[in-house]
Amino acid sequence: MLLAHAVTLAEARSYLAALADQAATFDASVEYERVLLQLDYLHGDLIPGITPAPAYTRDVLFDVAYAAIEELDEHGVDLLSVELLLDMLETAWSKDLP
Amino acid sequence: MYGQNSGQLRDSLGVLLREHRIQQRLGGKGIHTVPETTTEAEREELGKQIRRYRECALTWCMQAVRAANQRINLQGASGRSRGPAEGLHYRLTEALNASTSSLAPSEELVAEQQFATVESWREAAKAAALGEHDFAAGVGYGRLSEQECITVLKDAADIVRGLVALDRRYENVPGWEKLHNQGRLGRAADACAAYAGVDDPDYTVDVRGWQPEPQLMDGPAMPGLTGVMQAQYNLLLHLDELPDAHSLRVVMDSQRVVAREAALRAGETDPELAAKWTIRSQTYFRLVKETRDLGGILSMGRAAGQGAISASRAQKLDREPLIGTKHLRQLDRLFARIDERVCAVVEHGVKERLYFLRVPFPRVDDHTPGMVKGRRHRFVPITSPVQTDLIAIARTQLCPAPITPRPPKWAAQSRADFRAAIMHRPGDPGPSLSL
Repeated sequence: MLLAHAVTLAEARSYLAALADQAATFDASVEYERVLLQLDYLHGDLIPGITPAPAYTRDVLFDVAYAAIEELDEHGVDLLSVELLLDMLETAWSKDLP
Repeated sequence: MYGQNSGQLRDSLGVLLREHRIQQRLGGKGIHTVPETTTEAEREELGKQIRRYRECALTWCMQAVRAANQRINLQGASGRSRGPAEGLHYRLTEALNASTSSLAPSEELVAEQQFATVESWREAAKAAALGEHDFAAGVGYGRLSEQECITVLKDAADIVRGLVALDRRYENVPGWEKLHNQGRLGRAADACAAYAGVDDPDYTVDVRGWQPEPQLMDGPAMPGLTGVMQAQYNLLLHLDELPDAHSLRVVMDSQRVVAREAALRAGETDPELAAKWTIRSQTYFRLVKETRDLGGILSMGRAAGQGAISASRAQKLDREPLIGTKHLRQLDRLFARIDERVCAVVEHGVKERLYFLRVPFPRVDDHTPGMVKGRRHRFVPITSPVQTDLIAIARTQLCPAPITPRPPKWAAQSRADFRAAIMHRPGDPGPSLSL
């Protein structure tokens, strides 16, 4: 894994964790956590740690996480896996309604 | 289990102790209305067979006394230096060494017998043979508390008393061989039973001993809550082996979901339990947060599959409230055991350095060969200054109160019945039986 890939992955992980923590519903939190687990599963054990995300609103957190996952395609991650991750993220977002 | 085997031994000997006119029960002469059905030679053969069964029961007693007393191997100790337990062990050794009979072979232990008396002896011998496995599987000195040792000693002494009483009653069977020093053996057993009977017994020893290995509940998913319990049970069995870090995260996430879904549906039936499960769900949420940066590839990942199945089934449960407090209690017990196991897994993984924490951000590794430099991977032990609340949460919030073993309901009754059978006299209705 090169540094650019690591930075993107760290960003995706950090923003997904922040979304899971700030989710408005329990189901959405569980779904965000599943996206994070799936992302970690795809990359194995050698992945960067989570850094606390800035205190943005959930919309911003979602957009950044979505963009970061989308960008993983450029770093050699299988396109199908990226699409599945994005779909899981959208499912979680659809449940994130108070 | 020790309780099942020793209970079966007591039950069978209790039946025998209530029998009189032994010759007649072996097909010999009795009252003039009952004809003789066996010859003397056949009765002699039956007597030999019974002695082989008795040998099994005596061997069990010997092993039980040895398991219950640490000072048992005092070779060459004199009568004065021996306590009641050592005295009984000495007399039992004498009786077994002097006996010309052998242990009953497997064919005799499994083949059903024609006469009810011999059948009872067979059942006693079978229980004794099965009971031998208990002493190597948890019922041994060092693993038992002092009270449990005393209880095992009392059980063995009572059974020896019963065997001595039966030995006196079978004297007229053709070719019968009395126990060596029968009187002294009986007195040693009486003394030991009296000594062990002073303190209160601890019948929790009955749940110790050999048990069949639990098997996975494979097959199609059961409906409703039982399906969730099926997956939870399988998860518990898989947690016997240490999960890798990713599997542990999946398991924790699944428990968070199962606890919440169950709490939502149990609120009307049992609010107290529902509140407890809600707290459990929140605890697992905290654990999930703390393990996001957990790494470690050693160990197995089979627990994750059952965890995911369990969560999926819980989410698909009907929205109707759960009824049936029995199932709720069973699920609560499963939760407690899974929590206990997860806590042990975290402790073990941290102690043995199988789980690590990822350091927040990597640096470029300048030491790698080639033009393009990759990032540097950094892991640190959980116990290092880069601390996490994982251990604290597992220890203080997750770890449930230790499960205290409870003795089976029939433990005291079985022993009271057997003591009543030892004291039994012909014509005695046996009031202790209805205790």
